[in-house]
Amino acid sequence: MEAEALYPEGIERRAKKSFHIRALQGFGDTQIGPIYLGIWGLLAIGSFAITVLMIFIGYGLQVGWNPIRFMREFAVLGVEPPAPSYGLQFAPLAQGGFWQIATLFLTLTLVFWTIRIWSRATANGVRPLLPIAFGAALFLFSAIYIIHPISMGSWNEAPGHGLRAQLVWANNFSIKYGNFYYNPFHMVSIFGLLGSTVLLAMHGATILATVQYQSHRELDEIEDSTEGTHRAQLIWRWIMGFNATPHSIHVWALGLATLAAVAGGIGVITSGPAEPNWYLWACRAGITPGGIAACVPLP
Amino acid sequence: MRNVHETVDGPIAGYNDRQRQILRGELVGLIAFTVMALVGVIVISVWQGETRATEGFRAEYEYNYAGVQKVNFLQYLTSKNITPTQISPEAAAAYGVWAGANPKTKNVQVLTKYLGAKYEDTAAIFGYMSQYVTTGLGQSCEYCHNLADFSSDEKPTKLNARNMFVMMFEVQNKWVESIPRPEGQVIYQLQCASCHNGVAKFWNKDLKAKSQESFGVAGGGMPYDYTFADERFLGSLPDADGRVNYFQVIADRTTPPGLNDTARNQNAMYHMNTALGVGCDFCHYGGYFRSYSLPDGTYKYPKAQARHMLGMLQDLTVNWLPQLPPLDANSVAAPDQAVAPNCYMCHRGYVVPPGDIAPTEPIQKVAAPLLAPLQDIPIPISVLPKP
Amino acid sequence: MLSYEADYRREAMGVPARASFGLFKTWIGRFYLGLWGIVGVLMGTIGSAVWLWQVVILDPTQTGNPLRNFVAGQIPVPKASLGMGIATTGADGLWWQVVVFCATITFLAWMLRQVDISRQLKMRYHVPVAYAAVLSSWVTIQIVRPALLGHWAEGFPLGVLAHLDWLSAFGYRYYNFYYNPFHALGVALLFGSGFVLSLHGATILSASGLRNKGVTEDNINRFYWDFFGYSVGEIGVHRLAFLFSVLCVLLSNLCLVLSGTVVQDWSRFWDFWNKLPIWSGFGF
Repeated sequence: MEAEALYPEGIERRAKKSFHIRALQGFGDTQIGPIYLGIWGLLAIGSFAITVLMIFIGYGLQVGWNPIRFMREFAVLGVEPPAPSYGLQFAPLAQGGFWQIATLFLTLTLVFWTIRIWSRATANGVRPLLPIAFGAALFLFSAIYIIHPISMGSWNEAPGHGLRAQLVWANNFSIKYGNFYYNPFHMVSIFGLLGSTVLLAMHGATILATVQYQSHRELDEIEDSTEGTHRAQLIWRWIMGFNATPHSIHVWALGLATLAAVAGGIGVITSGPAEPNWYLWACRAGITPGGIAACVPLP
Repeated sequence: MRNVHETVDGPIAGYNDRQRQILRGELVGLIAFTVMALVGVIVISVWQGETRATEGFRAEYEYNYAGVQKVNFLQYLTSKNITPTQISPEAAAAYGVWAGANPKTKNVQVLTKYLGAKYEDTAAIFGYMSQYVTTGLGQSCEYCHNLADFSSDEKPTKLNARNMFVMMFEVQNKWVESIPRPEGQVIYQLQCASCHNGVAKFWNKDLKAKSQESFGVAGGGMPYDYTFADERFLGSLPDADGRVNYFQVIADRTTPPGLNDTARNQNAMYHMNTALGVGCDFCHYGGYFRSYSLPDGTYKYPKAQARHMLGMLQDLTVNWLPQLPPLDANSVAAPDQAVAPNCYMCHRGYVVPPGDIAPTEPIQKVAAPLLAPLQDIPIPISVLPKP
Repeated sequence: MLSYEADYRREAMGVPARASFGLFKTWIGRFYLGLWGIVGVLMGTIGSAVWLWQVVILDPTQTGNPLRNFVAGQIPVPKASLGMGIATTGADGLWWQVVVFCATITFLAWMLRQVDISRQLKMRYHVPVAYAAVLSSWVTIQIVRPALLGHWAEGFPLGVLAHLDWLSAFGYRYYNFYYNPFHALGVALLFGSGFVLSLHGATILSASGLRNKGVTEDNINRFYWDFFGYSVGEIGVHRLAFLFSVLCVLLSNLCLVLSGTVVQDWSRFWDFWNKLPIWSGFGF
């Protein structure tokens, strides 16, 4: 189909130019662009600009607008959510208001971005599966930033914006809820995450190992599998006794990655209202190392 | 079936020299980046030199709690480039005169009560002062004493010192002697050096500036003068069962929302890391921080000891320090503010405070001490394992 | 066998089997055997049997429930006093050493079998290389790092939840593992791998089966140009995949090896940044 016919003039116009980076030769496609702006892209950029502005103003206030301090302390600066005493209300700017505005516009950015991908997928004639996949990641994001704080009645449960702020949140959240390693949804999510890396390695390696037989032409191979696919399938069949098809491997891929995000989101949402202490949950379930008998009682 | 050796179109067969060159370059770049990062980490670690003191063998579950050693105080001073103070020649000469005229002490109100009648002997007291007080405070005799009349109370420093002796012995008797400990662990004794560490006015701005030299960027190392003794900490008292919760951290169904309590606790914990020079697993079972023992039954004595020490910290801050005269203008806190001690004040990066001494002399209990605590802080009860 | 498989098996028999010395070049059902298949099955069975016996059958958690034992039980590491020696009794850590030894040989055999099969199928060696990366992680954690630190006790216990405890304690032992730069790189690539996998899976599935509507790789290219500005291409995405996942594992090896040997405290590691001459003299 003629893609150009889909792009009328005006705000819908995409960038006319594309250029090439020769250093990408041998790795991937060298062409960069043309990128498409569109109304949703514009909204996403605008909304993200507000997010970044709020964060940088927050940072600036913390370093007294000193650029040298900013450089030195960039990693430890953070825009923190309001204190629990504010609950779910609007806090004054310096006491968490910046965080609230930044997070609101970050959420909007992600929503606009999802709509943007949707529109680009349908405009280019493919199924809008990527925005649905992104929905899984959005679910995890909203679980952490929106659903869990609301269910606990306090924005303070969400991470701050900043490098150290994010890391500190991960640590503190796990400590508060009794060690996230014992959260069964977290276990499933980790399985999905590490499994995704394994599956990615397997799939990437398999295709690269058979690229001389054109196995990388996956859309063609799905329609009609040829020698490359045959060899790719046989290596796994002979190794582990079963194999995928060019279509099903991508279902596995999408499914596992989605599992990681969705299970993670459920793990965060259940922390607090459903189960405030995952170690004690594991104790009651009898799966802590040493078993029920050795389950460490509190003094 | 196709002949597998047939040349096919595609990127593999079609790599030209330029592409091969680029790929080689990219591979070299990747390896170079990794190697540089690796070397960078090693160089930075070695250059920084100071790593926190490790206690024994630090694999999990195998700390030798009973056998923890104390570092020698003079060696500690030397490592901090502080020359141990000597008695000045004037003071030595003046003492010689005084000791000749007064073989028995005058106006000793505290030492004899806690350490016994032997300190009615001037020579004995001189031994005690020169061994502990001179090096511990980093001051010669004339700092407190009138060299013409060693018994005179005219200098406020001598009055302060007397009150501090009371505080020292009372805290030792109440808190240090009762510390929960494994079989065979030595109970060390407090001395001036325990807190002062060779500096009389150790709580002043210059020292604070020097102590901030290692404020970790990542926040893992809090400033040495970090204080977590806020109102909530100071107001936390054990309940009827002896349970005290200095930091509300781990959630149950009644836990208020918010991670700021956890963050507050984490800062306190990082301070303990810095102050004692130990990793988190020295006190904690990493699987469940609230627990006092490991799944195999090993009891984590340091965690009970740390809780005990937090009670002591409360006692010092709430009871004793407000009774001591206000500090001078060179100090950090405003004169009307109580100074809040922290773990680093004594521990200075070691599990056993370098300023402590071995328990050579028993300390007696005194029924009516010269300075009484303002209120009674109950000792948190530790449920120790049966021996 | 699959419909086309017979031809490939015949072709495989004609390939000089340097990797497995031509021994046991046969299939048991769907599984290829080979010399390394024999070694792997043997050592894998022994190691698994010892583990199951110690963890599940001996009922160390005393619950009488094998499923609970499977999850909660463990073979603990040898005592620190053993150093790098060989244990003689179970209490000293013999079973841990036995299982680690068997597992290492099994994983190695698995990888060499993959090499063997790649050669039979006249494929390039990316699959065993990727597996070797993961194998290197096992070897690094259980063998190389303990050797560097002088104690087998530095390895991790063999138990489902017990090894998670080890992981948590390991991080806290070095104060704050988030500040380990190689850990950060590894985590970035780990989440990046999940991201790339999700993207690739969704991309192919969004364009598959639409050939009759004229959808080709070109549509995918345009889609990515539009929303992202760059389309890596059908081979490129698999190179990206391989790179991300293998690099993630290899960098993570470094993050573990450096802890305890060179660096004791990762949060203090970054002190050097504060002390840089550029901004050290400013009094803040």
